Order: sequence, then structure tokens, then C-alpha cells
Amino acid sequence: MNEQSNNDAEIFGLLEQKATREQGFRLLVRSYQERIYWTVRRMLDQHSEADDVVQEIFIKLYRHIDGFNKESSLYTWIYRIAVNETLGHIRKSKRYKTSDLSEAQSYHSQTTSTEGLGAKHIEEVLSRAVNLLPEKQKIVFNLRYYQEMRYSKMAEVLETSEGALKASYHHAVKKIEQYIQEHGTEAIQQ
Amino acid sequence: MEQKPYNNDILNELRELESPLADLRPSTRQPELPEGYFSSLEASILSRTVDSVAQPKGRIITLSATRYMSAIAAGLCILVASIWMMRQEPSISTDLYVDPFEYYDMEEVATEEMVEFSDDYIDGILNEIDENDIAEYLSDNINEMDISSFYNDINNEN
Repeated sequence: MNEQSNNDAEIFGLLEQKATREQGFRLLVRSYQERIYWTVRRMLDQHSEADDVVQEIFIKLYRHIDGFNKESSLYTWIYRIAVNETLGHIRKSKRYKTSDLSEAQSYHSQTTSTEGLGAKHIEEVLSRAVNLLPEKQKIVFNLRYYQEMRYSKMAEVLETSEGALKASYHHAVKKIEQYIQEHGTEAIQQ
Repeated sequence: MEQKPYNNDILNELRELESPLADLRPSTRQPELPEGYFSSLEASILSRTVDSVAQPKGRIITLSATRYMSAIAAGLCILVASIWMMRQEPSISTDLYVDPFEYYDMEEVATEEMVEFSDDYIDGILNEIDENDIAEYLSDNINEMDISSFYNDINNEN
């Protein structure tokens, strides 16, 4: 995270000065676009949809750069806007279908299969299980399990207590475990 | 994506929860993306933000303002037209002229075709009228005649 902090400090320094703001924003886009894309993509499943939302997130960041609260970190601010924007999109488009297995299947039909049928099947089962989670648990699980985000950071991003986040994550893990036991034991054993 | 060691804290937490996820390293396999996607994404974002052409700042006239302005302009036009029409002097339009010959279905006769009656001709006709005819005419039209002028005419003739 030190590297991350140094990078953020550089971006922040550039954004602070009007003359270097443009340069700072270019660096921000380059540093965060991939991570933000995958965070959004885990939530939205479809590439075209994720692409639209990611662009909207960065446009929003650019427009509100003056409103950036210096008390929070750049990382927290960016992720907070990304998560809120993604949730807003999901609610607006009503595409958040946790029980729709076809979406989970479509997600994995697009993956690059290089590790054989077993790994692919595990991925499918895991993805289906994650898609069945309630909205909040799904976000927490994605940020923790895939983005490897610390609870302290997640608490800042989602503006919730660390205890509540831990509880959500543990519930999510248990539900996924239960789903895997029911649907994917044989895949894991392979 | 560059593969890096998975966060130990997260792994330990999963082990404490005795979850099978602890044995599953989160996959680095990602869904397929168009080639060079992140380069194009960056270009697309920058073209919509820092590289976008600055729009000239002008006064924005909203649709609602235009609507009100149109209504006011229409009202002014009606008012000016009304004042102008009221200030006009009444004039008879040539369209209202009616040709009497046409109206009464009369035949217009050229001057040269008109018959001029001579005094002798008129005297001849008068002489043919006997006293009884005159008396009858007078009795029938006595109410419409000016008696005093008639009396004077007779006296003058005599």
C-alpha cells in the first residue's frame, strides 16, 4: 500500500495546482482505470455496461475534483464514487438479478479457459454463489476477496463500521460455502 | 493482469472461518476484453474530460424562456395591429360599388341611339289627351300633388 500511497500523493499534488491539474487527472486515470474497471465488472457482469459506468465514474471524478475532501484519501474518494455510481446504475437499470443464473453463466462463458474444465467449473460455481448474495454482501465480498481491500479502507469507502463489514463478509463467505457444498463439491475435489 | 501473492490476512481469515474458499486462490483468469481495451478506455475518458474542446460560454436561453418571449411578441403584434386598424379613416371600398345598370338589369343605351322628342311631337301627344283623361288623372293623384303650385302654373299659362 506504500506504493499506492506514494502514487496517490503525487496525483494529489498535481491535482492541487491548477496548472498541473490536467496532468494529475491523466495520472489518476492511468493508475486507477484497471482496478475500477474490475470492481465494476464484478458487479455488472457485462463488459459494455461496465465500460459505460467506468467512463461515467471518471467523468464524475473530473467534474468533482474541486469537491475532493482532503481529509479522506484519494483512494477512498475514488472507490466511494465508483461503488456509489455502480450501485446507482444497478438500481436504475434494475439489472441486479441475484437469482438469474444465466448471467453468471454468461460471465464465465466469456472467460479465457487456460486451466482446464475443473478450474472453469469452480469459477462458475463461485460466481453463481456470489451473484446470489444480497447487494451489500456482494459489494463487501467483491472488495475484500477480489480487490483485497482492508476493512479499515472499506469502512471509509462504504461509510460503515468495520464490525458491520466483517459481519457482512462472514455471512457472505458462509452462504458461498453452503452453495459450493450443494452445487460444486465435486468441482473442488477435482 | 500481473499475478501477485494473495493477501495473507484475507487468507487467514478464510481459514479461521474454515471456508473452502481458503483453498481457492481467487482466480486471475479474467473475462476476455477487446485487445488494447485499457488504452482505448484511457483515451476515451480523457477525450471526454481534459481533452474535450471547451465550449464557448454564451447566454443560455432555455426553452421555457423562449416560449414566454414568443407569447409576449405575439401579444405585442396583436396590440399594434388593433391600434393601427382603429386609427384608420373609414373608406368605401371600390369593391362595394354597384353598377346601377347591372344591378337593375338595365340595358345601357348609347347617346347616339337615344331619341330626341321635339316640342311639336310632345304638343301633338298632349293635344290627343282629352279633358276627361286629365280630370281622371287629377282625381287619382290629387293627394300627391302640390295644389298651390298647380294653381300657379294654370294662372301663368292663362
